[in-house]
Amino acid sequence: MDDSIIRSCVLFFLVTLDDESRVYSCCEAALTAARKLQHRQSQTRLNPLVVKEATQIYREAHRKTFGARRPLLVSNGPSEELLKEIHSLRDKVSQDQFISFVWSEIAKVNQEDLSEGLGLSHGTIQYRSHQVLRLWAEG
Amino acid sequence: MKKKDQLTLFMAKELLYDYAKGLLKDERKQSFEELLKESGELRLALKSINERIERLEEFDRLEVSEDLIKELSLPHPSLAQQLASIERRFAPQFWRALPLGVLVLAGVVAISIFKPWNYLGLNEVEVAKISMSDDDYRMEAAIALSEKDIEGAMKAQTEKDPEEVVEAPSDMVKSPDDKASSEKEVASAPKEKAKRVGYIYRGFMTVDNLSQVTQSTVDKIQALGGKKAGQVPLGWNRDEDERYFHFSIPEKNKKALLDHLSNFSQVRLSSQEHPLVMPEGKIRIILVVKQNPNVVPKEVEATPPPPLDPAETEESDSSVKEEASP
Repeated sequence: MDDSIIRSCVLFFLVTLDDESRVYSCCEAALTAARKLQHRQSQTRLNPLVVKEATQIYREAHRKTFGARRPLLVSNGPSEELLKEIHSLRDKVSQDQFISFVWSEIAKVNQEDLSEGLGLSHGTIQYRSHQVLRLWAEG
Repeated sequence: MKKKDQLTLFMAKELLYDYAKGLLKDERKQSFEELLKESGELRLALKSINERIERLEEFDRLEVSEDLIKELSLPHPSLAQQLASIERRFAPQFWRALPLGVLVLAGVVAISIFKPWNYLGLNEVEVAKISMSDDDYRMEAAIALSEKDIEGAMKAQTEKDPEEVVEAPSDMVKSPDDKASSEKEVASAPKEKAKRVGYIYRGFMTVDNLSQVTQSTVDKIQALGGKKAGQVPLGWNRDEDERYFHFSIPEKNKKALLDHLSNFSQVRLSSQEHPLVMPEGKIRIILVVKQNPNVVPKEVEATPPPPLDPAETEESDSSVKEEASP
């Protein structure tokens, strides 16, 4: 498995979830579901499926606990101030806009994988990311 | 550049992200930069966007530990995946339902083992003891049995042994509780030679005024101590032009009844062997009174007969016939 998608997945949940101790279990759930889907659909590319499953978990079940809580083993993470700003931004924009923004600007997932995983065109993802960024810049 | 192709400030603001990301094509980029020189507001907006993009680079410095990546990248065995999926889906419901299931199961087992109703003292209580003579029981049974039951029992007996005349056993009417099962007992009566043979009397008459005769006959039967037998009332409207009387009456009053009936028309009364033996001095009569079709009665009854069936069957197979003179 590509390490970058694991990193992206960790970043996605780190930004979208309030509780850092749940990031690991959500990542594990998303990756497991993506692998299963890959096996079922005989797909060669896992990354779009990880995007899809992680987004699904965030949309529908982010309040559920998938497995035990555990501390996230990361270093050089973002400052608390930045995380707070992003979280406050999450409440100002629509969920779709925020998801596109996080995957595109923070998790830095390949545009092609992102487009396939979210089922959106490149233009839509860029536009949504721009809207969030502009709103953040305008304060 | 044509004027219409020139960027407005509004359009330029929409292109800020693309410019910051380096996504604009040369021509568009050039016109954007021209506008950027002119507009301080646009420069400020671009600066702000770039600052945000730079801040987001903080996330790029994040380092995920090797162990974490290793753990997450390990492919789960297929079976483990399936089990995890099943567990995730059904485990909460299973654990929620388990206590209730165990409780219900324990209850069922306990009930089947201990049978609590045995400890409740639900014994039969004798409320009253009524002594009745054999004749009374026989009379009760005769009244309770419908004509259909009796005919059926008779047929069954004659099919089994047409030569033998069978009598219903006297013990079939031993207690009132046995009334319900008397039908079966009649059907399965042992093949014994009859010491006493029961009889039923069947009568038929045609009258000019059916309604008047019906009422008069009902009154007369009751006056002579007659009692309704079977399931339908005396003078039951079996058909629009037919009335049905099934009753028991003291044998001594038979002549008085025939005298009364002969006032209206000629009565044909025939006796027929029957498995049910009536008490001493009592007889059972089935009388059918029909309206004479050639005479129009004064009062025509419009009410249709109720949907009851007394199961009166053919009378043609009577063995002994006794003509009664009016």
